[in-house]
Amino acid sequence: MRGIKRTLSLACVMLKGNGLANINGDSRKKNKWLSKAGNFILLGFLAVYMSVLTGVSALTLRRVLEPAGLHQILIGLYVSVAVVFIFLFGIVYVISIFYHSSDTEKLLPLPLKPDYMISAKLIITALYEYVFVIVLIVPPLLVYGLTGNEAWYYFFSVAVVVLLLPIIPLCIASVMVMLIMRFTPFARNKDRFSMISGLLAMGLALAFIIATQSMSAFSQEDLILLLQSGVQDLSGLTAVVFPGVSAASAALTADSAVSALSALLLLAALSAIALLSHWQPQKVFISKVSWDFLPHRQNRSSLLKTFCAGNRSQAVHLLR
Amino acid sequence: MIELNNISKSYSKHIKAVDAINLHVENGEIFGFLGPNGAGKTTTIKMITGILEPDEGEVLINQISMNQSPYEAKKSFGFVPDDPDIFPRLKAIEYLQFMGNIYDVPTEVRSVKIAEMARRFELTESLSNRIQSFSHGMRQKLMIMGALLHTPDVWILDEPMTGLDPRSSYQLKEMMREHADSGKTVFFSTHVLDVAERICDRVAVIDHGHILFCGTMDDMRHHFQSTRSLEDMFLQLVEEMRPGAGEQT
Repeated sequence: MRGIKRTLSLACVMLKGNGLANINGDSRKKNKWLSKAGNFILLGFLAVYMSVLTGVSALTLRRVLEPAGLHQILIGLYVSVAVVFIFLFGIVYVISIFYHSSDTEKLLPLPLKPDYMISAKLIITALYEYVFVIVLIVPPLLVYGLTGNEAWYYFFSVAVVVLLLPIIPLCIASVMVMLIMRFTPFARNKDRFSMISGLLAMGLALAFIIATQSMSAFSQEDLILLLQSGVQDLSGLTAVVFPGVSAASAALTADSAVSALSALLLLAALSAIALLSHWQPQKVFISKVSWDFLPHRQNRSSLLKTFCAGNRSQAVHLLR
Repeated sequence: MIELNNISKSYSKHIKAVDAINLHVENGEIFGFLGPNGAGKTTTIKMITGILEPDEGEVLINQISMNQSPYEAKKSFGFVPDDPDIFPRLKAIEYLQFMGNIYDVPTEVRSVKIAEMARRFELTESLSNRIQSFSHGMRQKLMIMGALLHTPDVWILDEPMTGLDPRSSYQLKEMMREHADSGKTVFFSTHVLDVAERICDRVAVIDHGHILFCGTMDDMRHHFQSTRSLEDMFLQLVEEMRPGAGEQT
């Protein structure tokens, strides 16, 4: 209980103190209220715009696919697209929050167990993913449910899937980041990383908008064929790479409460396994993070040397 | 109490930043850690505070090994880093509450301590402001308040006088003296030899990773058989350590 309280306190401080959750504007500006209102309006507009865009596209697609009895493939499409986006953004978030955040060295002299720090950083990363999921995936799933008069357990499944779906791709992303940081130098440079991640975000957003809008250019039959084959391929691929995708889809397309709950339980179990099995590599990972943040060049090379020698326990000690 | 037993740290194959140093800082004393730039002061402090692990040797804080029980060891000291930039968007009071939570300081105790220290450092009016609006000196004072909130047995400061105005500098020296007089340990690094000369019970001079001298000011004067200032003696010590210095004399 005390550990949870401490972890949450740390997560709040990191979130607020580094300005990660800052929508209050720049307090140094004279007219900070104007800045605050501007931020709220801009972020609100973006969230509403994206929600409406995804909601309307869900409505259109359902109308196209329902006569052919293929509307359930939309669930596979949403879940698969969601995990791919969560995974890609997860890589960016993990690098930025675990590596490029400047608070690590300041926290090292404090009596904080490494588990608290990992948990706090993971909570922040997950929060970002949830914001993304709520804006991009929840509207089409709700539109799908409301237009199809789905049963109560569908909406319950939406809530649980939204809660659990980011965990597995996020865990895979964080382990991948550990490998990227271990073996490639490109993401260590903060400026270069910001540029690449900015381009990636822009590219994904652009691809999403183009894909959504270009669907109107297809005839109904072509669109059905395209979606059927495309979604099958995508779902098959994501189900292999991200365990849990099939369970999430099954929960959302279940025809009874019992089968929905069974699928949700399977998803919860897989998420728990992913979370637990990624914990140990994560400890090594966060030790590597501290290397990146030690301000002196000598310190960095010292820790790099430690890692190259495979003496990870020594580096792990940094966060004890 | 701080004990450094034969600790070493190297950043490359050829250069040892800290080379097998031994120090024993007793309770109730203010210990000044002096040395020129790149001498190994900050590396030593990073090893004491658990930021870096020594390649060899052991650090004990109040008899607790930093290597074996880092959590317990870290609870027994308060650390003021040389760079006071942390969580800039937090309000000062939020930062202090966070430190209070981390060190399990009871709410009533921390309120009293925050009020008292804020009064001494003239920060009472600024506690509800964001840290990013603070000057370097104000941030430094906030770090000092955070480090002292749990009344640690050992107080470690890295270049604490940097950026402080004369009044705050005076207050800090007073607080260091009070801390030591209450039977606790104060360990700080500094470039300001004048300060070290006036408030330290003992000093150690480090250069090129080696301790050149460790003792009281009187010991140092006796060592040099001189009544010169600490600055003169420090410069002579460091000069003697320079490569080739022995050949010239």
